[in-house]
Amino acid sequence: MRNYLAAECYKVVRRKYLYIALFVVLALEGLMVWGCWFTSSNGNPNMDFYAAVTTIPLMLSVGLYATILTGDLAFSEQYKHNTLKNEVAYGLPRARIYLGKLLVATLVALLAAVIMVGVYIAGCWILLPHTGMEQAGLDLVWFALAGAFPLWLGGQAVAMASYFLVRNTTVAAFVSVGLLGVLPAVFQACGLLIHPMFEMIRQFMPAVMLEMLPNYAFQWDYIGRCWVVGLAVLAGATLVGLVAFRNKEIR
Amino acid sequence: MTETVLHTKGLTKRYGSHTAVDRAELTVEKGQIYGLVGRNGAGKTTIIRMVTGQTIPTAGEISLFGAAGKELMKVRARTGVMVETPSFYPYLTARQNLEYYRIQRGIPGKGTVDQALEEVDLADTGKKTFKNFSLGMKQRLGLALALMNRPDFLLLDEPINGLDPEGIVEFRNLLLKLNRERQTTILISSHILPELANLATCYGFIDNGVMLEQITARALEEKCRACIEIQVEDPSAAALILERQLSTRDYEVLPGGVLRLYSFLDQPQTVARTLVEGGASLRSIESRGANLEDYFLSMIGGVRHA
Repeated sequence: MRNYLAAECYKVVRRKYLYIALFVVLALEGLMVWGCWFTSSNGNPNMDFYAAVTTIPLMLSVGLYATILTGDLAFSEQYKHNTLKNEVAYGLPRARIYLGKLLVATLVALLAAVIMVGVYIAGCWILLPHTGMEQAGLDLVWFALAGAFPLWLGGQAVAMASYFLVRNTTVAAFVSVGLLGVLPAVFQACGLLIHPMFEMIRQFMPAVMLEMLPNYAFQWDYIGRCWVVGLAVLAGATLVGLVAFRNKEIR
Repeated sequence: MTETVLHTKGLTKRYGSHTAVDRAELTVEKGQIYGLVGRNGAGKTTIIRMVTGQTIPTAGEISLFGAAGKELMKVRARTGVMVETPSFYPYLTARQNLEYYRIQRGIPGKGTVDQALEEVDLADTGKKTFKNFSLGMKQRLGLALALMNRPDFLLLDEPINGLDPEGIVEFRNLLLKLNRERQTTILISSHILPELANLATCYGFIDNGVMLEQITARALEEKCRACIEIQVEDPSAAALILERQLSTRDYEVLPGGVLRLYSFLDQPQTVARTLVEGGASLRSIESRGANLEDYFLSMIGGVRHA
């Protein structure tokens, strides 16, 4: 497995895609920080470090959908380029191939998250006024990230299962969006129109839990629920993906 | 005792109601260059895909280096594979692509990649990425990947597609060298039969998913040898006439009143006249002989369109 992970990392760091995606996201972040600074420096007393970093918990859903990008990055359009045959034909176990790519996608997602959150916080720290609430703001960020991390893991597993099971990358990305983002809306509608049970299930979907996370500030039992749901989605999606990939025809 | 590298028993692959491979029995012995002959869609690629684990067989058994079932996965590391068009990451160079697979498979020594690239004459492609390679270069990189782990068994599916005439000759010489010097066993599928005839030591003929025949190159040569085939009432008497009148013993008597003469090939009229004048009751006489292509076509019942 170590060789497999090393090879996947070797490939991923040589993709321009990684750097372009990071550059775009960091540029957008830069724009946001600049906007905060511009507002603050033009006399808005409410714009300070605390106000800027406490927007992070409101943007956690972005991380969930970003797993579709990191999944694509690690999966590297295997079906389009027909490269999976080079791995399967040499006796690499399919479980190793699947879990290896999932692990690397998770690693890339984690690194990207650290860079993005780090850059944003550092930018805010340098450019925005400090009002003595800095530690409180950072505590809120760490709390939110502690709950978001397992849900992102679940999202990553869903995205990776889609890439492995659907041959067309674009369709796979849409399937991921559908499962992660559209399904909760469908369940919400079903909850209103058919049975309240659907609404109850919806409350345990990663996208919904991420949206609700800022409302549960410092309620650690909610973080516990995030971990249970995130790990359950991770395990479920990975199991489905592995079983289906085991017998998949590789061209 | 010869060692069996690959043996399939009752190997079958069905896609819905279509049977791509039907109970194929195939045996490749160590040191052989096995030519798998068949038209497009005959089932050659499906057999190779099943052996390499890309496709799960519907039924049947595969034994590779004596290993079967779950053990197959381990011994696949001893193979080198090139199935259909070589596929690589388009944004990586030849060296980067091979390095990626070298790391992945845990093949020791960075020099392995350079050596493989030199073997296929791709050592100086520099920063050119795979997407900018010509078809011939792609084929050669596919071969480099197949050779990188110094395999005991090479499985090559239509490997000379896209190669120029010079490339084909180089490729053939490389395979012969590997077979001679490293005793690499090779299974090569192709529908370019004249090229296969230059390489193979054994053939397997497949049509519509059914293995029709397995035959050594020597036996095939014997079968296809040019001759005058004579049908007479008494072949022994006819043979005696040929011996006395034409002073030849280069013939064989086959069952069913058939006599095959391997000399006087350009003089069938002389042979016919000699036999008739000697009192043989001649039924028919015709010049025969076939190459690999003719043999295959006669086996599948003439030229058909896939």
